[in-house]
Amino acid sequence: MHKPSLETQDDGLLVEGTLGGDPRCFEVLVGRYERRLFGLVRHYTRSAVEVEDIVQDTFLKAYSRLETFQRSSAFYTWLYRIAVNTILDFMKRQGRNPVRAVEDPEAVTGPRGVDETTERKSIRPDARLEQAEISAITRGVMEELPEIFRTVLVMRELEQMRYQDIADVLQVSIGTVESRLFRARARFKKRLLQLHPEFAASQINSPDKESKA
Amino acid sequence: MSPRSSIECDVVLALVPTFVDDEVAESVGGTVRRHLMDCPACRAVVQEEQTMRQWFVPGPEVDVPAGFAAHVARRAFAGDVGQAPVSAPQRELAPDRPGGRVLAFSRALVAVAAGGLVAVTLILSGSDRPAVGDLDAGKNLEEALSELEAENLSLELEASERGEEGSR
Repeated sequence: MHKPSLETQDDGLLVEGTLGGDPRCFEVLVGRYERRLFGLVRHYTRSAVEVEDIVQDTFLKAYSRLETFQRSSAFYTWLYRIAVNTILDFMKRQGRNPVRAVEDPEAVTGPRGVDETTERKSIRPDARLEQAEISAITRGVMEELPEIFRTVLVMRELEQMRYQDIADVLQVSIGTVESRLFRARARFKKRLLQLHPEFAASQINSPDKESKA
Repeated sequence: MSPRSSIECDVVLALVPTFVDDEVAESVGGTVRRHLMDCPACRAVVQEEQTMRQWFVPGPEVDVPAGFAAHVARRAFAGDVGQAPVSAPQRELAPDRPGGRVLAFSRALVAVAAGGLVAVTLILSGSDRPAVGDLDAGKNLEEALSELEAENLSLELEASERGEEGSR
């Protein structure tokens, strides 16, 4: 009977194979997720060498802890959690405090601790901008955000992860994910307006104001 | 509230981010959609929320070095565990599992023993303690303050999030 190639085997079987001592199984796992991890880590450092080091570290740690991986959860979620922790460790070692300026008091004005006027401001990318330009601007703003907000934005907006998966990776509740995303988006808008005021369009009225008008 | 809607604007506005993220239950999503058909003000807010998402576009393609997977697999099987100490999944030792309870108890025991030891040491060596002026704290003061500040900010955020969840 034809035996399926390693490349087509699911993650669980590859984990079993790796634990059984087959390096090819681990190589296939790494190959399967390396691109996504490179994509994730580049949001934290512009250095290609550092990106490679962090991704490599992530996989090495995953291998060293592979026996603790619980088959009930998705391998990628588990791997992602290791990646996020590796990034935080790396930033700490580099003296880049991952939680710097989490909440500056002057920004805590709204019910969820955000500036309501910023929240209601319309900021859209200029239609003439190329996708690469938008991406560069966004990246510049993201780099200014505290890690705790950057991570949740990367997961949701760029990795298109579901709330439940984000909650699993960060080991927080879905409510916390919602709240953190809300704050992160508000922070993103605020910083974007500070760095690029030219993108601020006319301020829209709140529904209350419109209905009263 | 719009004329035919069974839901208040305030409720819809609170749901806008999760609605745009397609993370509300189908029944709730249907109710929100019906409200939006009748309520141009809330519809405008949803459009703004969608506009915000336009900033998040995929970046340039990532270049993975050739042979990266084979290289990492070789290093892993050679016993390399990476540079940083492993600080990843803790779920396997959650307190509700037998192993987790034993570990939690052991930790508590060690903490109590350590506390006692520190107390005894302080009592025995109280008279030999240096004066404040003798301490060379300046060297790492900035770093220590920075860490404390970061920790405080992190705790503040967590407390705030817990408060929001509680009020929800």
